[in-house]
Amino acid sequence: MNTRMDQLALELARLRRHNQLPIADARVADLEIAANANGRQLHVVSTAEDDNTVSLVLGWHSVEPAASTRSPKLVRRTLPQSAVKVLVVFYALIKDPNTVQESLRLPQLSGTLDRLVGPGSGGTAEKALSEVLTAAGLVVLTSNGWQPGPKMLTWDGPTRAVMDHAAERLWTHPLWPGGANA
Amino acid sequence: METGWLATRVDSGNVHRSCHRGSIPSYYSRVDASTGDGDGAAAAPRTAAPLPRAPHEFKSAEARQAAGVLGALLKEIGALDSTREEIDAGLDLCRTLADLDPYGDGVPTRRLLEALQSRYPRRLLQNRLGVLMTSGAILKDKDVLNEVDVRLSLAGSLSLSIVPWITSMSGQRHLLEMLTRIEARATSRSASVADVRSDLVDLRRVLSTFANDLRRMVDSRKTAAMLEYARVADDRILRARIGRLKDAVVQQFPDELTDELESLGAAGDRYVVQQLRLLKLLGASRKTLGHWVRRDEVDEVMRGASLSRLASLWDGIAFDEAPYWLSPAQVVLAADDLTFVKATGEIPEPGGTASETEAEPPLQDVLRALAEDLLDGADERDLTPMLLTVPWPEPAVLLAQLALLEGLDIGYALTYPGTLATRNDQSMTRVVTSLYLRRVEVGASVPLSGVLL
Repeated sequence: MNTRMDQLALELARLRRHNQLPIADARVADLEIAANANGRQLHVVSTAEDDNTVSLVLGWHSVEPAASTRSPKLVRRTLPQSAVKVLVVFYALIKDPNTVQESLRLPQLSGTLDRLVGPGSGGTAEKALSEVLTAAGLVVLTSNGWQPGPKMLTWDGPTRAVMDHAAERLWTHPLWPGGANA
Repeated sequence: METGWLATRVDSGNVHRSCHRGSIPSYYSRVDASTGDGDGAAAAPRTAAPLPRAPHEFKSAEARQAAGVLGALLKEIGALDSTREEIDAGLDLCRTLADLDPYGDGVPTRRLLEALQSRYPRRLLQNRLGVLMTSGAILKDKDVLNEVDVRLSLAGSLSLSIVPWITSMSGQRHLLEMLTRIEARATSRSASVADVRSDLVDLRRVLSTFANDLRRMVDSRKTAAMLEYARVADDRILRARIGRLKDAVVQQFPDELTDELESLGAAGDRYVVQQLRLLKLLGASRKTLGHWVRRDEVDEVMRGASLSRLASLWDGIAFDEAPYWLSPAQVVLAADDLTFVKATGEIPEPGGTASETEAEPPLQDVLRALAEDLLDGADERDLTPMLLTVPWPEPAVLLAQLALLEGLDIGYALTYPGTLATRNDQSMTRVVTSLYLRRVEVGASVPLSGVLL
């Protein structure tokens, strides 16, 4: 195995493990060929505050497949349900047509969660954002607050449609910020 | 004795060797004696020097191993801190010299260096040759100033076998070699009890140290070290060898070394337990192992390792963790929870406010109506005939309702005259106690008690 292939394999491994890889550290053409050969797709995203830092993210050509226990096996780690709730509220707040915003502060998110599911959700939101959702590459913390992470920016169409549907349901809820009973 | 600490230590080392064949208490008494006299007093200021905070950073693992083994003899560490290439060059100088000079006539240094300069830098070879000549491993053939022929000394030839042994010695292999040597001595007819006792005690010390070292390795979950260790470790061989040694000692010296054998057995058990722990961890399922491979270690390796290194670390364990996946079903469920969607089935309201219960008259009204129906306008009514005639279980139901009515204390009471009434049927006879229902003042009734039927 030559060194060139070693480096390529390591870059793919780091890309898969850390959700993103700075474009300056990677040989994009080689990585793209290797990803395509395995049914994956390379996305180029910018998650930092300035657009100078551009990263590569490993995605799927069409729909991201679900876990499979039969051959070909595909092992998945599902997110905890409490983290999914936080993610849905986060996405709905970011995409809310009434309040255009690119990042969220924790009090805003936990306040909305408190209104929807009852008080005491602040701790859950902070834990989910800083641990699970960050590890999954779905959110990222910047100096302006929490922003969509590389994985969220490269969601496939069906996943985005499901999240949009959930967000619309929240927007029409009476307790949603700006709603009838808010 | 020269000066200070080193002289004392070297001397105590000699004492150790000379007493090795003797009894253990004599060894300790000699050491105490050597440090308790004038020399020991001179050594006191040296031992009070500050202790090092960390071990020396060696240039090669071989040098570290050799320094660890020979530590008791060392005055300073730097002399042993050679790179692997320097160690190899020194050994190759001795080997080549032995090959070039089978009869000990001496070989010109130029010829010796030329034979090796394709494998090592000339400067390195000259440097190593100088060190070997200083140490006495390689000698000048004649003790004259311009002499350039050299020959291998006896000590240098011993280093050919001892240096590779010291620098590559693993714990398990060394243990097995110790066991072989001690077993051979224990089965020898000329062996004394003191010799075998000394050997057993040394083996027990080494076993205990190895067990502790292995325990720390397993506790720290250092995967690479564990895999390397597990390659040579075999608990079955070790257990069998310890058992064989104990049998040999018991046969040769019955009842004389019982305590030593017991201590040795305990130390051996500890070592084997740690080995089993290690093998159990390494043999566990991939899923389990994925949890105990330390995250920082994986990250560190991933940053700069070659594929062969990655394979040696992760082969048979776990490559990495599965990626997170956002399930659409989870998203829909979360949206349901967040928007409080009602379940499809009707949830019953709490009792007391439902319209159905409000439509029914209160219980006391029902019972009062029953009592008025029975009394039929009179103040008192004998209910005995009714109890005798109405079909079963109506008498029991009636009696329960009337008892409840009396308990409500709303102006009705029951009276039991204490007589029995009977009625013969075709197949049976019904027996009841006589019972009267009468009106009373509210608050005057006495709660019913006793058996009625």
